[in-house]
Amino acid sequence: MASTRAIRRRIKSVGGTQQITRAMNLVAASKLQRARQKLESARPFYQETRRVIESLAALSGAESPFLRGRPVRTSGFVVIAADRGLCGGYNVNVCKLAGRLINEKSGESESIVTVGSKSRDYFRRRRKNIVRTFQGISETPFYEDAAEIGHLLTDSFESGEMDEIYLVYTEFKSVVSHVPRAIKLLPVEPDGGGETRPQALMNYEPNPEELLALLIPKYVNTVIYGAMAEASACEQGARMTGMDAATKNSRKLIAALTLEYNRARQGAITQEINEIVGGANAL
Amino acid sequence: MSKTVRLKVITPSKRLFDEDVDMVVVRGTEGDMGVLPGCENRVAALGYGALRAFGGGGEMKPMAVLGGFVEILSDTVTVLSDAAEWADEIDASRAEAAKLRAERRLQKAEDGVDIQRAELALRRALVRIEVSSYPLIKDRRS
Repeated sequence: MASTRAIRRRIKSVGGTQQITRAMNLVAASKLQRARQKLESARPFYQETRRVIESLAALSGAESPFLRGRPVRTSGFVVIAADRGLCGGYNVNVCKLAGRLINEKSGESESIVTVGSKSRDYFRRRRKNIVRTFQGISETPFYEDAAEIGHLLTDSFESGEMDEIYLVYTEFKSVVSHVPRAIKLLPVEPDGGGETRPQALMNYEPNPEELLALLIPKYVNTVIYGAMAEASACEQGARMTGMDAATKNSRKLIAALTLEYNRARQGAITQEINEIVGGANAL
Repeated sequence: MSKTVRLKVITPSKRLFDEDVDMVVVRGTEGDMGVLPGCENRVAALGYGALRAFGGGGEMKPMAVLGGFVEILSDTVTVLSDAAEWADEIDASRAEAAKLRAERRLQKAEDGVDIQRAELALRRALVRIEVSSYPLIKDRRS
């Protein structure tokens, strides 16, 4: 049986960890609130932009390189994960989905853009071709950051460095439900379903082609920003539930250890008494 | 036919405005555009410039809109912009400082990217200064 001192030390260490996990849980909970607010306020912009682009593409019949697919030689992937760990399976799940997609889709070669150091590490270990990494922006995303990534992507698409681009992120369904998702970013594929109600007249200024060339990069930025907002809410949610589980677990562990400690203490006392009694009898 | 237009101003980070107004004037890439109730449908790219919303009783609210686009659809005007701010939220002295900074940079910059950036910064600053100097016309009825 372990010595009482060792058990006592163990209890103390678990207690220390518990304090940390509890604090992280609380911090994540408050950050989650903020991330969700950000997510909510990002949605209308995304939805409106998407709607305008789709009607523009469907109605005007305008041509744009961003709308046309082409033979795929290099596929681009943007993987949005966290900078920090200790958030359950959040990072692993999204990276795994991206890894599967990369194996499936990439033609001759792949180019990966990572957001968050966890996804960078994941693909670096697997010796994938990472063209650009972004750190320190995934926890609280700003539109400017998204615009920078979007700029990079539309440039690479236009110059032919990437022939199609996928975006892999985690969708925030609820505090406990986070679903890794992959969507095709470029070329833009209008959904075309049902919603394209015929609208008789629509004027475009300047002409539809120029407008599309202007709008699509904006749209890409918006989608990336939305995905980053979703992902940051997921990160905090995952960390909150993860740390909550850890705190509960440490409570259980402490209870079990306390029991063991008391047993050991009692055992030691009994043994001591036995020794004294034995010694007295021997006299 | 309604006598007002619904003006929505949405930026990536928030819904800035969503109310009925009498008239909207926006700065498109091709020039200023006034939108009255019953305007024809239109999608237009926006330049850097002022947006003016005219409310009931001659009230006028100016706003700086820095790029983006506008969709005009059956009495709703949806402005989608990367950055937009009301005149009374603009810090005029900061914009003035930004203008000077950009001008200095333009004078000595050589690199093409730097010039572009400085020019954009200068245009942003100029719009902000212009907009913040608009007189804010309050509702005369009240």
